[in-house]
Amino acid sequence: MAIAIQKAVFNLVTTVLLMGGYMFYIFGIHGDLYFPQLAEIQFWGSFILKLTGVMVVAKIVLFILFAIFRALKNEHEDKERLDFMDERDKLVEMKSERYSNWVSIIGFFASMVPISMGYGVQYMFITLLSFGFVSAVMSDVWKIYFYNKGI
Amino acid sequence: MSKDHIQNKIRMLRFLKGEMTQQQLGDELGVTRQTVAAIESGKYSPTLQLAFRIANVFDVTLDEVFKYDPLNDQFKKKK
Repeated sequence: MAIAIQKAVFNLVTTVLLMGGYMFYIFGIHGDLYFPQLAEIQFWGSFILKLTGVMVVAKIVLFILFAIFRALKNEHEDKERLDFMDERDKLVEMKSERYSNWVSIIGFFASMVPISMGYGVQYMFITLLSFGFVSAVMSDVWKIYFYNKGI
Repeated sequence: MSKDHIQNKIRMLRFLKGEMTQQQLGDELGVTRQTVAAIESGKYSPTLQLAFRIANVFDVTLDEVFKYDPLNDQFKKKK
């Protein structure tokens, strides 16, 4: 498997696991969460801030571990640089980012629908977060697709 | 998504250059082996700069590496 595809698969798996783990931590282990809290903007503010922090730190740590694992596994082989990007890699990244940005934009407008219909603020944040998650996952899925099918 | 209207002779040119590997060609061009494989199989059309670099590596002209077939191109000229 090409290193670019390995990176995309790694990113996809870590995104799903981290998001799932964080949701489980907040709503599973901390089962004391009472539902009126979901309607508070303060809760969602801290939820998103903590999620961003956890994702950034965990991704950096996991990526370092991934690089170490690859280096140990391919010790005697020709090492490909993980950060190397040629023109095709850049084109694949640009295309997949563009499509994932479209999903984010659609998510933003979709999140306005429950607000405009008079539903609670939690529906807006849930829609926004759901589309954000889908857009992050789709970005990697499209990368894998473009690498396999061609641009 | 292979581009049937652009064909290339990279495989043959590699053979003529002492069975040069895709990795060796990639190293000379500054791209990955996967990109060379994608160009060779028609899954990716290189930029003009990379196309010239490929021709330069094999010491041939651009049209000796790439061939354009307008009949297979889906692009229609505006009249």
